[in-house]
Amino acid sequence: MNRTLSFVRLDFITVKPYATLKNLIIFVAVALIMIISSGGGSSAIGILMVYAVLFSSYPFAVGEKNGIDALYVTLSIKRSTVVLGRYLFAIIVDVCAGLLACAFTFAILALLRINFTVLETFIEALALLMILSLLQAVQIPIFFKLGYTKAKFMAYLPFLGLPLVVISFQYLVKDRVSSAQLTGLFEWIAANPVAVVLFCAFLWLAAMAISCKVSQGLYGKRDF
Amino acid sequence: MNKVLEVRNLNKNYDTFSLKDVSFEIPKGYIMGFIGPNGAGKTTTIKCILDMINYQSGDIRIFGHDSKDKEAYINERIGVVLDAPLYVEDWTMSDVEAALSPFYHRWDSIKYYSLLKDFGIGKKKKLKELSRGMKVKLMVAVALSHEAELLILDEPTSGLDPVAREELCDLLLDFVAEENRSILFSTHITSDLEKIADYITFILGGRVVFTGSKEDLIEKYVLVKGGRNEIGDDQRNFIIGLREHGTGFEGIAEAGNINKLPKTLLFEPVSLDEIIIYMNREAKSNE
Repeated sequence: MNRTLSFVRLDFITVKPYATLKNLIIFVAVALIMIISSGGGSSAIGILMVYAVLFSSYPFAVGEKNGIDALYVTLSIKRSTVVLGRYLFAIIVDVCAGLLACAFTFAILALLRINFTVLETFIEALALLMILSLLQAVQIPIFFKLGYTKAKFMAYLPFLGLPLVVISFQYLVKDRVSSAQLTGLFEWIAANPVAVVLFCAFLWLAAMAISCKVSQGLYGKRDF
Repeated sequence: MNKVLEVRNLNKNYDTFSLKDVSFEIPKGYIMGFIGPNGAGKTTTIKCILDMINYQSGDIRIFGHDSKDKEAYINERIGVVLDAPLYVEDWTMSDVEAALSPFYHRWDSIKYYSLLKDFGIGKKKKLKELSRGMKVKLMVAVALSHEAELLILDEPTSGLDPVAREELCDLLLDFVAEENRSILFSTHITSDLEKIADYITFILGGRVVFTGSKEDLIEKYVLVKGGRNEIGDDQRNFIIGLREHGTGFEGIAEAGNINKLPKTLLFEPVSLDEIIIYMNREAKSNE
């Protein structure tokens, strides 16, 4: 585990030159613009978390440019450790960015005297975190298989495909499920929050575990 | 255990190139020159040794361990010096240390900064601000800072001026001066090896054509020059990489075949460079 954590640290050092003050200013400016234009915090948190997802792919981009996969081999870092470490890095970046986005948003909302509910915003951020990290679970194995440059187009398809999936789902549900059934489902969710959270956590963990295993298989076959 | 590195029957196939039964070994405490023209398979062999690429068959043992045995953390005992560092161009020298040191049990921070100082590399310099020679020195500093016992160098001197190459050769001689330290030095600039190598492995077209002491290789061949009419067709077969020009011919021949050639020919000692050139020419003419 120590080597995995050391690898996560190495990933942070890899992207450190890109974590600049300029990026932080953009981060704040984007949050401000989104809040002012929408009159609420959700869209600001959403856009900032998408920004974090992009940032979490930087080790692939920077690493490929500098041949860093070969460096990992010279450092006796097992390929399975590289994969596990990269997932941990992505999750840490997502969580930190989510917290930072919430903190910024709350501060700006308070300054602008716009009403907001902390718990509701946190739940929205958590749901978004899960959705984005599930998209990353599709994206990361593609990076491990092809490398950043070759994978760039394919790896961002899941993000473009998400609205399509949502629209298709709505279309399918509209004809097959009545509004009474949907209301019943939402009432059940509201009445059983613990079960819903546990179910979502299980789904998330399973998706991450499968994605990680696939990445290990793909990365193990790569030549550097 | 007298061998730091043993490569046995290594095979790696690409669509257009293959390593074929590559075998050689490095005795502890010596410098092995790994020579061959561009595209001969030097880098592929080194990548197999370091487990950067998957290979079809063969056995590679480093310090007596299977090179694929990840639990042995063999690469911790190896210093790798390539033609360019594998570090992020925007890293400062402190970033390099912060990134690498957790992976080396024997990392010596004081030694690292002392070596950088000796090499004239500032702590706050970014990698992209260093010259090629400085980058090579940085990689050597990293290797020395984690007490590497085997240095693997892949074309570190290509693109360096003679002064920087001389400095690197001196560093390598200092490195092997300490007991139990060995070097695998891959290059096509053989003049560096003439000065420092104890052993030579010569690879051509993915096949090892010679492995042994440098003296044995140099004594194995002689440079032959003569007039066009001085040798007959049968005798031409003894000349490797025969090149004919307006007034005569030149090539190399195995020392054991000298007595089969006319005594009127001119026989001279051969350099490593000449061995590569003529062997490569012979291989191309046989294609």
